Amino acid sequence: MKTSKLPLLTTGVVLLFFYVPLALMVVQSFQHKVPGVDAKQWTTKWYVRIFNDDRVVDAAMNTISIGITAAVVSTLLGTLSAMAIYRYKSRLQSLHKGLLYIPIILPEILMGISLLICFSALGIELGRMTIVAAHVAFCTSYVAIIILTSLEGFDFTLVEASRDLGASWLQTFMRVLLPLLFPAICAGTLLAFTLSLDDFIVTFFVSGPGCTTLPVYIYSSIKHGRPESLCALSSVLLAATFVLVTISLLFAGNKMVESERA
Amino acid sequence: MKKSLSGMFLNVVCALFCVSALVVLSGCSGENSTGAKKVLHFYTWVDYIDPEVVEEFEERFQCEVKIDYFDSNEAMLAKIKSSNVGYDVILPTTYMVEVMKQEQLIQKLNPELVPNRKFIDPVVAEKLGDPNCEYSVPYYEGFTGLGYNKKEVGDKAFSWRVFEDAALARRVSLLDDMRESIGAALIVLGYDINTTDDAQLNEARDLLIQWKKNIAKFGVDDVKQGLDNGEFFVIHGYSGDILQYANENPNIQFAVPREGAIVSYDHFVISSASAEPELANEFINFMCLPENAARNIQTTFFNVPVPEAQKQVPEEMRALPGFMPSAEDIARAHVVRDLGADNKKFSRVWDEVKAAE
Repeated sequence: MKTSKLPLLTTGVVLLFFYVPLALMVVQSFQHKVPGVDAKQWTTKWYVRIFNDDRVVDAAMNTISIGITAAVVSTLLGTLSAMAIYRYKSRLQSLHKGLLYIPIILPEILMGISLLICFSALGIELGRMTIVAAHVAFCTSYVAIIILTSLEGFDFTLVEASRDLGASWLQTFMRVLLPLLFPAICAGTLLAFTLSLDDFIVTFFVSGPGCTTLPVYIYSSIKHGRPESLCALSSVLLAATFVLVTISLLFAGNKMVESERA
Repeated sequence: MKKSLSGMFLNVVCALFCVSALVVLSGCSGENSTGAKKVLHFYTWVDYIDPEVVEEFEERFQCEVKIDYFDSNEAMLAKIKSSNVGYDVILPTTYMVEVMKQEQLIQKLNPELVPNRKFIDPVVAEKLGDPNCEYSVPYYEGFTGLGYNKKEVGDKAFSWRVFEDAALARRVSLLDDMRESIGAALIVLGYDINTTDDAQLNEARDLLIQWKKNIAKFGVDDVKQGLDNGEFFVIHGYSGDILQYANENPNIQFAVPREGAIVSYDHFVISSASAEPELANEFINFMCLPENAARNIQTTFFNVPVPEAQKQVPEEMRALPGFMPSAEDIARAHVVRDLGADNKKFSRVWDEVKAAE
């Protein structure tokens, strides 16, 4: 039997297309040009520089605190939303399901502007709270969709059995639903955190004084900042994203193994 | 085992959430966030001030300076206009100061609180049309000129015509900035860089298209590295950015072309929505002090029109070619003005240049 080389080729081309620019950036972040000579040296000095830079550390702290808050809030909302859609298959809920996709397809710039207009109309001062609110607005959809997917293979009779055996709703939720949905919830939380971490456009519109996040800082560095520091900073963000997405996928994969076992 | 894992995850997430929520709720713009300490919000460009000078200001005035960053005057204006948020001190470029003044987004400086204005070079203040620094203090001075590799193109006196030099084909770059690049073409043609005459603009367009065929690209950030590693021989760029590289790489020099060049100043202004106007005035005054200005010059490699400060800059830095522009260079340098509705004419020319094959 002759196997086709086409899939391998396609995969190779797609991966090259995706990762060559990223790889170049990472390589540059470790390079330093020796003055006067046309040679390059490997160095970690750009990383030392950014980690010692208070402004970068401040921006990182802002990004992380906003990310965690937004991730947790959107996980709560997303889980509830997925449960409602799954449990009550009414017309209202199918509308709800359709609306879930809107924040995902909506151009980010539109979302940013509309949120900004909304906040200024309501007289809300821009700050970390408005960034969190904006991030929750788009992260919730992603979380809900992940959990919905996991609920699709979910055996609802387990919940009924638990109720029949005398467990209260709270006990059923804590002892039956939560452990079963746990991998999907984790995957959703991590994905939401990653989305919040990387967001630039929406954040740019709704951020206020004292709330510069890493992506906004990186973008603003383009005019006067040193390109090498910029590469180093972007590489750190890239690494964080990779780790989080990998963990998130592991959780999601874990779920699949379990549903096969069931 | 799984239960303990999920329990652990929940605990960790809850703990992290509580901490983060506290940080978030502690607010960004609240004076209450750090007790009685006043907070000054400074909106500026990245890597554009000596952090130690800022720390000294914080100590001296018992306050906290929070810095946020923008990447272009336009992005900053959009932010300030859309919801006049609580920034106190902002550092826009000359033409944007005019726009902000017209839109009443900035307030007058308090002359009593900013006595150090007297250190600002009166020639520059006069040139920029605000001799008494009523609304703004001109600070970082950036010439847009040519950064070049001495080894490759020699020490010849520089001209904007270098973009036509076939020997340097694909080794030169123009700034990806509408006003700067069209401005360079207008200077070569001998016209005013703020012209609104269509015939002159069309001539500039044709010249730029001719240059475009010879250059490698339009760029801002990446071309500096290209100059450093020998990929490009001549780049169109801002003095401070190129001098930073010249300081480390003896092959790189900066030159103000002999036909003349565009100079731009970034000015300290106070937002009309400032919650701490007094502190904002003090901040600007502090930055005008020659020893502080001198340190900012050394951090950014951009000159500041404070002659007393320039004297305090170390000799080796002053010796960098192009670092200290001559009085003549300054006198004949062109300043970009806001053209209001006529900005569209420049956009049209720029679009045509970008679209040209």
